[in-house]
Amino acid sequence: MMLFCVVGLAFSQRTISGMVSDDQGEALIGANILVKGTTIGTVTDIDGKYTLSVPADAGNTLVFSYTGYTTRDVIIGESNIVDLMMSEGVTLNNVVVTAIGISREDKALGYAVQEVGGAEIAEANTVSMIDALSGKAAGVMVNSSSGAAGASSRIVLRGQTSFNGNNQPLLVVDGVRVNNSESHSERSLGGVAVSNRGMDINPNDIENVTILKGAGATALYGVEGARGVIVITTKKGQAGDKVKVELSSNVTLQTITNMVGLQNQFSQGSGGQWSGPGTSFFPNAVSWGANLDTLYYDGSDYKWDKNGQIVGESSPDRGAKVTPYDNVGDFFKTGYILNNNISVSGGTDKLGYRISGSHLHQSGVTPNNEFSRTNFGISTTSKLDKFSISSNLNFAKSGGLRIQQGSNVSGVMLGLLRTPSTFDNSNGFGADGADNSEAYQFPDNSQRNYRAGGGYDNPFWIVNNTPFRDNVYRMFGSVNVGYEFHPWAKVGATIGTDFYTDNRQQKFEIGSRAQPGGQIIEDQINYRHFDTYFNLSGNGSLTPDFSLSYNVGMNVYDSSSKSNGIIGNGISFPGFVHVGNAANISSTIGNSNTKTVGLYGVLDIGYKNFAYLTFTGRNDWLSSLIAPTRAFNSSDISVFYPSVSGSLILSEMFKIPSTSALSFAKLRFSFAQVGGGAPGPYSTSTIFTAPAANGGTINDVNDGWTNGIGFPYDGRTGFTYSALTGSDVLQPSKTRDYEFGTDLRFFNGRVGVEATYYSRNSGNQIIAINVSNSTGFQRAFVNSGELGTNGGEIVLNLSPIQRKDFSWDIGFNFSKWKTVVKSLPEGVPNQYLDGFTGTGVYNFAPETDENGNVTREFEFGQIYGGAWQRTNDVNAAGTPIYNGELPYNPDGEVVIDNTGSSDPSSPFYNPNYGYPEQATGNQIIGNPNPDFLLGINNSINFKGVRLDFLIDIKHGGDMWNGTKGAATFFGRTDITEDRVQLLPNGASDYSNGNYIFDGVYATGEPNQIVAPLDQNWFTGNGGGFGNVAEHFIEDASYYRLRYVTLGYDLTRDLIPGLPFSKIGLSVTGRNLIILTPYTGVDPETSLVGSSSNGQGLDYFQMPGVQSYSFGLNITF
Amino acid sequence: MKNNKIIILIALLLPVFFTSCENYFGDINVDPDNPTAVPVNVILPVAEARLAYAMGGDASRFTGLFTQHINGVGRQFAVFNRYNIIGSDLDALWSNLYSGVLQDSRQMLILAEENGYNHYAGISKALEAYSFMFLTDMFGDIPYTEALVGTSLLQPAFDSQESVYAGIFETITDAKRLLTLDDGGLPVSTDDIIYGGDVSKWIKFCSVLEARGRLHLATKDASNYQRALDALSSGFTSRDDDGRFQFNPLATEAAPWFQYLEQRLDTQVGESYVALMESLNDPRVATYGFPHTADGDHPVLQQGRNYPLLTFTEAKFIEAEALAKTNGDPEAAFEAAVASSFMDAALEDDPAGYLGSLGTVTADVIAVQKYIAMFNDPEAFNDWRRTGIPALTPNVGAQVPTKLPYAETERLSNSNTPQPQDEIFTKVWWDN
Repeated sequence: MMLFCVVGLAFSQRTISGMVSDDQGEALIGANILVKGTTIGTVTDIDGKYTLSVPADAGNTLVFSYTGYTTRDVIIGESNIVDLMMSEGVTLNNVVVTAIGISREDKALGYAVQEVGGAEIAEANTVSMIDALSGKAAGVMVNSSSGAAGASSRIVLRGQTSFNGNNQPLLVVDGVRVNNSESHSERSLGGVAVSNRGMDINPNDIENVTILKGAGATALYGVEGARGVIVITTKKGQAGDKVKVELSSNVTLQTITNMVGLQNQFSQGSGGQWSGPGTSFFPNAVSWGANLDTLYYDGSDYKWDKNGQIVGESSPDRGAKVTPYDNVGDFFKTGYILNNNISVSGGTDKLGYRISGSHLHQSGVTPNNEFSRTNFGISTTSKLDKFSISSNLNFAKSGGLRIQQGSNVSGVMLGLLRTPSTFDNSNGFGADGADNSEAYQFPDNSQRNYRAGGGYDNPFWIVNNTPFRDNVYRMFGSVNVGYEFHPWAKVGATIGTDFYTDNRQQKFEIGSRAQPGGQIIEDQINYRHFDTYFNLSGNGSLTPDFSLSYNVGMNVYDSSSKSNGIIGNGISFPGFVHVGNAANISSTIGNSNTKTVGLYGVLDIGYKNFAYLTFTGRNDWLSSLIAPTRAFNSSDISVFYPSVSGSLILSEMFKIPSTSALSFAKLRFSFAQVGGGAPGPYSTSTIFTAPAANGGTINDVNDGWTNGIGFPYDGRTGFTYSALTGSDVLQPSKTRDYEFGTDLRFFNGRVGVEATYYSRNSGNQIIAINVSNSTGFQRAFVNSGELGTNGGEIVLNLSPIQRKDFSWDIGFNFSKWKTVVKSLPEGVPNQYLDGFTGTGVYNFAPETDENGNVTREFEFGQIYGGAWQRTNDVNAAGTPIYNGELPYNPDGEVVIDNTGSSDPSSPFYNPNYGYPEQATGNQIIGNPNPDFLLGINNSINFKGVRLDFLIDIKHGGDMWNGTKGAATFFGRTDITEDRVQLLPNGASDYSNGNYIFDGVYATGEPNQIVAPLDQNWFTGNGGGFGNVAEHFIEDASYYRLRYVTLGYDLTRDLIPGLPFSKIGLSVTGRNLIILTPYTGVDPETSLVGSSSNGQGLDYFQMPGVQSYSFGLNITF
Repeated sequence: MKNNKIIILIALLLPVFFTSCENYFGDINVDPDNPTAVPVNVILPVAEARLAYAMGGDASRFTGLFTQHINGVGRQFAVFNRYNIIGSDLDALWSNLYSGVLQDSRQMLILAEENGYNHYAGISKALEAYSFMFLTDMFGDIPYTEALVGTSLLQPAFDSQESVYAGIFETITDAKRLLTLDDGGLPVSTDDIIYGGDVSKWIKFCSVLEARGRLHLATKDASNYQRALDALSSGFTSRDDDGRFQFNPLATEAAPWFQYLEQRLDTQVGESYVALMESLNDPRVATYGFPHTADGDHPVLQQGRNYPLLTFTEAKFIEAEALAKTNGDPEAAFEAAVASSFMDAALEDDPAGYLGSLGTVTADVIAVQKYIAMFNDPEAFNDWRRTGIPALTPNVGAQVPTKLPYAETERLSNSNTPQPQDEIFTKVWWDN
């Protein structure tokens, strides 16, 4: 390694030394000293001292800089000793990367931009760089879909702009797009948790991330601009850099966090009677059996339990007392992540380079769940006279072994949480159950589960017999060439590409509940895109007061994907789940191609360094607007997107002295119109398509309960007219966005406030609406509907303590927004986003009065499902009552059924007596959107010891706890623990009633009936399979210690003779504290993954995780 | 000067792009994987398959719960068993018929009429009549005259059941007329999974379908019994004429009941149904009283079931009932019906001894036997509502549901959808 360090020697030079101190005379450690115009430099040591060799031909100006202090240029005189006293100040000329890779001074920007440094990303210690952004910037909402290894994460900037389309920001690496899609191989409600492709980016290669939130910032992306842009700049070496070798290694241990509360008091069975796995269905499916306090094992030889059959107290065979099995505790394990990175960067006199390699291996908390990622990256930069060339090439291999979850009879959590406490899924093997087939199957290969082979798979069986493997090989990168003819004329070209192959294999062994006959699915997804820019730019001063810059260019984006799927059904013998062993093989092919061509221009005008105005325009031509049924006309596919933004630096304009409390003040505004993405390809025509078994699309032949049948059928091909009708007059949606803000800094930057208000309307939406099926279609594409978002952000940066050996910086990122549905297409009351037919996520049109005035608006993506009947009228006395003639009233009181009699022998017997009534039809029962987000970043440095922590708050937002609902039906949740047993005839025992439901009778009197919370109730509307979901809607707020890192760097300056320039040690904990009212798994979860707009559903997905990491970082 | 050259070059290149815009994009927005036009004979098998899957699946399960041929014992079906059935539970059935079978039949009809393929036009009308009759029987008033127009008519009106039936009978007449014409150059072939292109059997199918409909309407107008008999005169003459859809013992071609039991197993055979057969010493209890499992050999629940859409057995029961109601002699038709039912149940024993035990062949005896014979057939729900036989004890509460609730999707996207209180206990027009 030392060989590398010889590079920077020169012949003729002088040595400058000195000391840098603050205005109190305290030494400044780590201040930068650079010979102006070169890359020659050094930093000060622990005493503030430095020594620097300056080549004779390198110029005679030194630039001293230190974070938070005013940068100073000092001309070297005769003396070889240069001491300097620096004073705190504000760095105003920070340069940020904006749209299409254009660098701008941030003071000239008319819109809010936030940067997250690479160090912060690395410190968050997440597998996915998306997760590392949570709480790091205002207006950013990140939601990890589950704790499964490799599970996707969703990111949304400033709310939603599209009903059906992508609401996640565009991901741009070094100026060109990269794919961040998530593709499901199976129905999105079940299957496995897949990755989003942003997961392939190596977080250690990131120099910084710029978050372009509003349309003012993203207008140059035209049709893709509405949802914001995440601009990632990768680390690079610069010409003249010293060789730097960095090694880092990280070990993380993970355990599960929150889990649905389970009861351990009642056995498998029904009606208060124990029942073991048997042949009949109901008694053994559920946990409505006997109280465990009355149960004993008889020690007999019993196939289903090593302790024997269960007998009552009076049995002569009674042996050991029955104690509950801890199936959840036995199943999940401590997962781990090993993450190793190496990078080499440096430069010759003309060329800078960086080469990095990284390997991450994760073993999940679910047995056999794995994810791994390998990255290689090479980047170069060079500047030859007027030519500049840079390149960045990344190779990634990622994938893993994923486990079935969600709404899926082969899902791990589904079987796990339904297993009675008296059945041991591990068959006595405890935590080793996953490694021993005797735990989950019998010698004849039949499955050992609590329902005698039926119902759901034993979780240990699943993790061994239904593996999903994916393997992604990916290459992405770009080459950028620039030539400067003249400051007024620079030409540049950037050519970027991203291509990958995603090979997937899903096996279902014979006997799985999801695919009892066995199934093999082989999928291959081939994706590629090219993103190419040509531009001409220039800048300079027109007069001493006026500066001007411009950039005009062209962007061609060409994307295509092709997926091939082979499905083999009917595996003939176990142990070899393979297409060659399948009785019935079918295949699918899916192509998708789009091209977008854009022409754009930017004009920036600056006046006296305090007033800036920027105009942009982009015109896009979109292939997906071409209607094959019409003659081609380029104006049919053309859309124009303009923007204007401005910035006024009041502190410069009014020459506010730097000694005043207010050190910087800026006002900014922007107005822009951008697009919400092109319509999907082929949506301009209606197709015929071949239905597929297991397809789960609206054209398939099935009924929602079963896998259905597919074509070709018995040797016949078959096509059905698509239930989704196309439209040949579609236009992209238009988002109009206004943004106003101010940036203020006080006390030399010790206090910084950035406040932003924005308002936007996304109209002319492309919606696939649900239409009356009697039209002959289920869904139709229409160009209508509008979303409106109003929001605000406050970024507050405080540096309460700034001393030589003790500093504390706090950054608050507060964001609040509301995206409401302003309109849906005429006659369409709502629009399905995702979820189940019973409980799903929908958008709702505003309610209006008879004059058409809006009386109520709904936020994006409401949870819609069965509700309790509520009072909707008042009687003469003003008491709320229920009136069957009037519509549902969400604000009324719950109506309790007091009609008829609770006596089963009465002719007026009403089994619902004393329980809430169910409202007619589904209702809006929950709003998954949070009230506000707040990230509080703390960075404390005490004598070189770093303590950084992030408090991440999501306040408000509902979640449907479908997991709890379903597990309640089965008598497994702790809310069923305080249960009343049924009468011997199966009727409810009102004489032992234990609960008075909060509500009133239809006539308005308060409920006084003491109803029994019993098996009948919980297996009816009291549980998750009833028609009412309202009582499983919960507040999913969270207040979490997202991460805390304690780190210390040993440097050569601290320990002379250290063979490395730096050794860093760190300990990180993630999600160590999660405070939430939610009673399920970690409320940061999503059944439908990252790409769906139907968030807020929890149904047996994998639990969240907390982790502890130990990191070692060595720099040579 | 170099600068100028570059600028001029760019200025020259841009127009080149615009002029070649169309060539640049080409056919990129044409779906390479799904056609926008297909021949009529590839639509037919899907329409038939979807109809059979809907009838043999959801339709059979929901009506089976009401007729107590089955009990719901697990998960959602345990809830349905207590008559907690709401619109969203019927979404799949509704869409499979309207945007599936009826839409595909309509597309077939358009293509067949364009090309003069009379037989395809006739079959498409037969499938349409069958589907609409099922829909109106289950739901009552339904979108009919304004249905299937497409998105230019987003909220089709609901027609009264009486007028829907009038339309259905016209469609059946028209279907029979078309099926007697020549094939117009495209004979129906093996793409017809139900009859393999045997047009004469489709004509018989239409006749039996009309008889079924006439029987439903006899509650309103007794002259329909005679019309049913008239229709049956050109109906099925043997079990070979049965309108059946052949499912196959393959995962992707398996019958819906088999799939349901294999994948969910949330139902069991109805206790009162079994008790009824036992009280009559009915040998069919061995078949229909079989505990529900995904058994490959069970005649009704098997994977490769030959699903009956319309059978000789039913035709003979209709005939027997109509004769009994019109003072005719139902005995021969009744015996043929029961004998055929025994064969449906894979029993070879001569039912003569059994028939003897039933006594005089009255309309009530016929109704009981038809109830036993039509195990899990949606038509059994119509029969029970018409005749009240057998007397059923509600699973909960005081009433057995008499109607399926309108699909939630329809209620949400079509404001014309009626929203009666306690909808499942309301009665359709012919049931009033």
